[in-house]
Amino acid sequence: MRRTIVIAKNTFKETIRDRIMYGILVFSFLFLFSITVIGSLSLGEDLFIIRSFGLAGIYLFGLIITIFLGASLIYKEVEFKTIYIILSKPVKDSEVILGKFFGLLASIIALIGSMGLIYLLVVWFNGGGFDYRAMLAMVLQVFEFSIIISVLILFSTFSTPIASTIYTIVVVYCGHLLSLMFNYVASAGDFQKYLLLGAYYLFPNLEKFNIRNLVVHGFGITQSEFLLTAGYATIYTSLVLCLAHLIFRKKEF
Amino acid sequence: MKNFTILSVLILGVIASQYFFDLIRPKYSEVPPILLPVQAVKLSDLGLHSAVSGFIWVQAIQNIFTPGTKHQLLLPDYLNLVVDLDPRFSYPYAFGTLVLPDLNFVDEAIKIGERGLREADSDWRIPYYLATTYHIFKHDRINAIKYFDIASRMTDAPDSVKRVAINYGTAPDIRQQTKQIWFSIFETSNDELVRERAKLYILHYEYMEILEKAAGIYKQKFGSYPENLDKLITARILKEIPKDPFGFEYTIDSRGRVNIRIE
Repeated sequence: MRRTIVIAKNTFKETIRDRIMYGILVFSFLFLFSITVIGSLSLGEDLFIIRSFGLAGIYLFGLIITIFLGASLIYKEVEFKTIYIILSKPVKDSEVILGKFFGLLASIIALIGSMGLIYLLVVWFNGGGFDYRAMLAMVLQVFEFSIIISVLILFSTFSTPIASTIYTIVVVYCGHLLSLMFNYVASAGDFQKYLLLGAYYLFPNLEKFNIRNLVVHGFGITQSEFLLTAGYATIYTSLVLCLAHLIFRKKEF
Repeated sequence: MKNFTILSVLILGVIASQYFFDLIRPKYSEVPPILLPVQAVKLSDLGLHSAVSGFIWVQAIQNIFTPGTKHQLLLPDYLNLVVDLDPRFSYPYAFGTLVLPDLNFVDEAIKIGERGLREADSDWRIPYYLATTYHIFKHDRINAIKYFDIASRMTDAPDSVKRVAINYGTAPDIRQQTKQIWFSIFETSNDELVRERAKLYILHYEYMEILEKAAGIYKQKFGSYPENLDKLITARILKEIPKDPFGFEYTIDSRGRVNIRIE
């Protein structure tokens, strides 16, 4: 456990020091401040536009930073041979995987937290009060990103950063389409139906973490929905990290 | 120093080439905006439906509806896309119900208003503007009463709106009633476009009232109403006939009632 925390701390420090990430973060802050201007073009629906664009911006910038940081997480260690230094110590493969995961997750939480703070200030100054439902949306976003980070780590164990990026983008895109696909199951033929059902249950269903469309209209979710969603994220993340561990263990260093 | 000079010259070169490019570029004819089907948008927006809906709403207001734009006839399609992406977004329903009739989309306005009542977040403006549309453009007082009643029972409706809605049908004439409705819309809207529209309607009715009062004074002086409105100027009752905000021409009948000329 202690070794996992040490690797996580190191990963956190490494990702937080990345200069390109700060560039993207600055853009995200500029975007969040500029949504007030966009809101003023909406004929009196400022707050709705500010909330929709704000939450969408936090999601998109968070996604870009996550994929950018996570795509080369394990690959970099193998490429620069620093993995030998880690594995020469009494460190288990699982501790490396978990340490990387928690380190990157901590960085992403810090980033979402800082973007979220700017968002809450912008909403406050535009008369929207304290948008506590948006905080719920951001918490679910963190759960969604935990799945994406685990997928990135999985791909990072066996492919290049560019390939990992592309595969992850495809997974994210499909993850948001699964609910739409499920609507077509009833009208599909037998083989297609089982294929669609298989994809629906095995692919990460990321749409369940998306409550932004509800939050902007003042709705939230029930406690049981939240717990099920969090549980799904925990189980799915654990599954993917186990797969990543199996592949990482088989690699010869 | 040499590097600074080279960089400055290059930057000036970039600015100058852009400036002259803009001067000489031929003005191509405007390409009409492309509206994607809602399913295509939903497939590609990563679930960010309300943000995309908001973006298309801002586009519709700024590029489609602004005076001087050529594509106002696309407004119903834009509004339908906005509400298909986010059915709970209430203002586009209210806006469409009030504004589309002026673009000769009365049935579309009613359709969007009725959909808004079913699907949008609770917003008194939807039934209120729907009632206004039925009253003004369909002369359907039964549906107008029905939707005014719904608006008056909504908890977020301002008092002035509730007063007009509850008292609908009690004003001495339809013009007075309509003016009250537009007045309440002017008072309660934060939207500059809607307030401007309401102001034009209020002025339209007020000018007609001014002309009828002037016609009344003419009758007291000369024993009968004027045959045309120019007689009010020659009789020195008015300095000039006010210009209708919508560009219509006023006429007067033998009972002293002022109307607009319909060709």
